[in-house]
Amino acid sequence: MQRMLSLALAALVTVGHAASALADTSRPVAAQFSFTASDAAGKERTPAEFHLWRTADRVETDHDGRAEVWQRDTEGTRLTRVFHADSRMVEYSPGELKAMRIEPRWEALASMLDPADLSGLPAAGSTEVFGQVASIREGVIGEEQVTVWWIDALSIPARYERTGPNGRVRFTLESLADSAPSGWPLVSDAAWREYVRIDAADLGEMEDDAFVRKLQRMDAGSRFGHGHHGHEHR
Amino acid sequence: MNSSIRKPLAALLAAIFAAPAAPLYAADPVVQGPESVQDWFDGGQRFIRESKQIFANARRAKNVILFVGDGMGVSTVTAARILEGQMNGKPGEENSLSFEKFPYLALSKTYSWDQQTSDSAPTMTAMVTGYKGREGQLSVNHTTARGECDANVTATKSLQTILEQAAAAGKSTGVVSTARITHATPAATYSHISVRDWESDREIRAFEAAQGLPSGTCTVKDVASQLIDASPAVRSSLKVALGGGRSYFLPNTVTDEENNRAGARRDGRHLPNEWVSTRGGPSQAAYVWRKAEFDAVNPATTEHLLGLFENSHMQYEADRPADRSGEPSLTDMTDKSIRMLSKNRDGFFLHVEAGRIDHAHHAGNAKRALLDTIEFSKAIKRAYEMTDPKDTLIIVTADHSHVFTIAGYPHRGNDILGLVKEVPNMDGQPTAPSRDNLGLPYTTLGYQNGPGWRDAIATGQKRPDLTGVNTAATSFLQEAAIPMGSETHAGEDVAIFATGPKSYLVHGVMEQNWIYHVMKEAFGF
Repeated sequence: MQRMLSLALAALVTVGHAASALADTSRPVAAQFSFTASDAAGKERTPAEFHLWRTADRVETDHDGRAEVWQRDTEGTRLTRVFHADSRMVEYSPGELKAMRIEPRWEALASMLDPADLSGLPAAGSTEVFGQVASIREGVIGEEQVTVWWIDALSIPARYERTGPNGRVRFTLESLADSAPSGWPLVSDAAWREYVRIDAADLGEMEDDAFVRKLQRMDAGSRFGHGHHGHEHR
Repeated sequence: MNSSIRKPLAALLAAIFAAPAAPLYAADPVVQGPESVQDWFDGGQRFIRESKQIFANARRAKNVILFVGDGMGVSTVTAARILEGQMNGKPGEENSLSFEKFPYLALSKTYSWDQQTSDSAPTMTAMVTGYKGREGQLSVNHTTARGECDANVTATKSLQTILEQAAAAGKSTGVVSTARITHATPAATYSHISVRDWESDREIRAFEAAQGLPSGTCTVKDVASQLIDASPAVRSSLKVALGGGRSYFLPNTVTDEENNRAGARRDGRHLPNEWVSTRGGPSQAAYVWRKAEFDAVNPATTEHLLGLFENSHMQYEADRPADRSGEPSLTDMTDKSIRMLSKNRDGFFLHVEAGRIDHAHHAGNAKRALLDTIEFSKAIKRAYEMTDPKDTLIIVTADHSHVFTIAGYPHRGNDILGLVKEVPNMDGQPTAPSRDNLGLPYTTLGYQNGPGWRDAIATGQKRPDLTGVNTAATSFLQEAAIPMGSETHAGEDVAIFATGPKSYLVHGVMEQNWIYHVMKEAFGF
């Protein structure tokens, strides 16, 4: 399940596309989604929650006991991955992300999917969700049929569904606010103080560490592992 | 017909049949070096003349500087040499990094007591203590158990380092790194611990929790606190410690000014403040974390300088200009250190590490690794210029290599970061990318394993088509044959370059721990 969700999220955020007028991610958002998935045989996985908390220069997501905190500043974009069950954080400095060729556009991080992908999908009407107008876009990206209900004013999806040879994933917006309500699984101050933090640059010499071995198995094939190079700059 | 007649006849026939093609073969080579024919001979003769002037300096060394390029294997040296030359508008191959001009050279066998291919902990332990050690352990002998956390046991297993010996001899000492100053390579000079990752007490407390031990069971001090709580001799001698790793020195109740992160320490200690208070107070000791503060430090009036310029590792050289608070370069830090240490008439020991060559290689990112290597070379050049080769032994080496290679048959001056283009089959023809068996171009630089592996299943290609790809981009990841999240170290020998007193002892194929013995002999300990 974790791997499937990880791959689904990796698919959400692609890299290297041109900016799009569809992306205005300046408004703060706290959005809770339900996440459902099924494999190629149609077998449903246990539903999960997905939280997105966005402010102007910070995007925090939480799912399945793991969080990602993206921050941007004058040095660039930095990432902290939080693994609550292991009381560990893995930190990626702007330079390390570049060295690892992980260079997502901020708009893609803050809106859960790349607006450039969205702009390529034909309009298929509109609807209202949580008092917001959502434009419906449907089409094919690669081998997948994609449906997006896109809240233009907030630059987030109210529904996002991809169906293809490997199965189906769907995010459905369940609650929406300007700031994270109490009880949200935000990374706590205590976690920031207490968890062991690992610099991603050190992972190469920590392969005798059980957590690092688990992490590398989990990351294989994802944007944090090998094999994903986005669009090579030509 | 005897053979003496057959040969001229064959040559005559070849000349006749080759005649129509003569204009093509007579065309100027598209690829050519800048040298004349005579230049090659003259260069060789100059080398002999200069080599005859080299004398074995048997004097005792007043100063020793140990430069370590972390992960700087021979292929990294070669590629950095070419890149530096090409950045200066030359073909590149004929260029020399500053330390390649040193008169003495050896190969270093980097295996450790329990590793064929080693990590940085036992390799640096070997270089600074004279003994090969165990994986992940710093300056303790190889009988030390993994995870040994008793302070008394660790003390009995500890090996005195060359820095500690220099301190006991009344010399000044210094440690400089672009990695965390608590990272394995610099830490091996001043700390003794069975787990290199115990850089603050947070990691030790986490170890206790994982082992089900009550908090406080482990009595060994973490690496950062060992830097501060050094023996009286080291405390007095250690004039300069510059690098990254600030969070390991700060309590988790303090938020870092630069990156808004809590410190790592659970014990509430604010080690930078302690550095200042235990070393004569603000009138004699300083702690800095911004480049402007660093630049303002007057070496003549500052006795002890601690500089921690990042929470974790310092920036790659390629990214250093973007640092919001500013970071000194490795050359800047080397320069300042030598100015501070040179005040001691009895001399000094200084260790300087280019720590991020290794990290860029682990990421499969050759350009960042090579740019850090070039900066390392500049720092060595500065050190050489600031010291007297008659009394200062400078050793330049690596702790281990990486699975980084220079492949194919690229022509002279071919972009070292580019696609392989061979010398054309016939002079006058243009160069073109060489092709593999799939008909695809490939880069000169590559890795045997690591993140640079491209997912053939996902792309539907057996190999990526790099035609038109900017392989010289700073963040381009060279291809790797075996998919791994992090590229690995390599087990082949690394080079040792040396100049100064007793540098002639660096020769042949050496065990890595013999480097310590050369330094010890040079100091006369």
